[in-house]
Amino acid sequence: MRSIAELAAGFRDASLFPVAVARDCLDAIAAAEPALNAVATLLASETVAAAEQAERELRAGHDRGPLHGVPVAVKDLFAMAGEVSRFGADPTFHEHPSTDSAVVARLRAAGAVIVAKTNMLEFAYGAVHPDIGQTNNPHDPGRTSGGSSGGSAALVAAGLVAAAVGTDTGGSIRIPAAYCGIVGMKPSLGLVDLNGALPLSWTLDHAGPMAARVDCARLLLAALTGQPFDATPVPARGLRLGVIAAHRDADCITPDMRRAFDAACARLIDAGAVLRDVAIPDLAHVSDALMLILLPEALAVHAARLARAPERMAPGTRLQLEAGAAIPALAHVRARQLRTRLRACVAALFAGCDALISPTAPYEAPAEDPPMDEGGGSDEMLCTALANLVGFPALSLPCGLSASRLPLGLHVMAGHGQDSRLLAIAAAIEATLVA
Amino acid sequence: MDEDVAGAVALAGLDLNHERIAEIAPLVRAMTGAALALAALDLTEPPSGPDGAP
Repeated sequence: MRSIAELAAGFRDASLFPVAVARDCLDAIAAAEPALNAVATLLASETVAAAEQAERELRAGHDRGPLHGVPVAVKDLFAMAGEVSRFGADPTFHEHPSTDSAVVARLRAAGAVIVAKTNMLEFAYGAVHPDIGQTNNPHDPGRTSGGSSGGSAALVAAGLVAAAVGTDTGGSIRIPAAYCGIVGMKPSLGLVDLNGALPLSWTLDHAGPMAARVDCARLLLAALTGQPFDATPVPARGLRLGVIAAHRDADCITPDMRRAFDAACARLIDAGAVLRDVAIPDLAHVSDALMLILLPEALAVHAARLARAPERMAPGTRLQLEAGAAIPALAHVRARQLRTRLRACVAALFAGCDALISPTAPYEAPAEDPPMDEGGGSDEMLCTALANLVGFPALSLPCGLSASRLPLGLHVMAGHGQDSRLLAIAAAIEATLVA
Repeated sequence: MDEDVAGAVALAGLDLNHERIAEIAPLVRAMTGAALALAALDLTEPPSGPDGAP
């Protein structure tokens, strides 16, 4: 699949046409499915109709911007009028919305062609529903694409759509992006409107773009927010990058991941970036704090579903929801107190750093998504949970391959509201690493 | 431990049998450990959401 910028240029100089691109896209997805298992709903007739409309509008000079006529996908928790929302769950829990979510409305207003609703872990909560199965990784079908936005990541990584939208509560955009070798961004808290998206945690959920390159993610984020993000490149020379040493040095970081991260750091230093190790007090408690907030919030969100048909849920989802009932209120409050402390500590670091970097996930894509209980999930979101807890923008971009030739991710985080700055820094890092 | 878990989930409005209590016990134990670790921190800050608001 061509990039958003290439498609946009082609549509305007009439070397490419939205309808032909959309039909090719549908054919390619049909060929890849069901082996990839990335698609919950293929919107075939709607895709052609939207592409025809885009083609008519562009021909008439009605230009909605860079996404006009571009094929994209959305995670199957964003309401889309007239289309079933499956949430990666049993049909008992499906919904039939009559109005669009804010994300879908923004995409339609930008003229994007929504090709598919994508598979996800059940309710975005870390467990595959056994009747649906995991989304397989385009780089190795015997491994997961990650979660919970695995379907969106796989469609982008397989070149089947130009970009996709995911959600991220502890790393659910950035971890699948790392496993699939693409860019995934969790913007600042609240930047992308979550109205009409199924919540998991009201204080940790974010929606954001997934794309092959940083520039595509920037263009999609602009469409999702209705505001432009500066494309002016920043030079790698002089960039001040804080390396979160505790994440880089953690026991769960595999030797492959460590080698790739160190190699990326060496290239950035060669390009003139200034790297220094940083320490964040109480960082070791981040995953615990996130879970102490997430577990009861998720139960509050899903209590009625749990009461109605617990046996229809994936065992892991049911277990986590039920365990949420046993979290003491005092522990929940302390986790929110720690969040206050961490926000201040991390914000202070940006006085001396332009961005903080670390690995994204500790390892390459595993065969299956690790369960969230007894430490497995904590390891997986070791490096990503902090940005959810404090609400700061962060993204993952590719940083080399493991010995098994599987993608690995580099995590970059900026200060709250510095989404444009984060995209510019990430573009500079991306240019350095692929140079 | 299981009695404590059963009591806590009952307070939250869930009626779980012994089998379900045993199922969730490992995760609850892990979260109890997490809660104890946070209790050992000298947290004097007010609680907040990720936007910094209370």
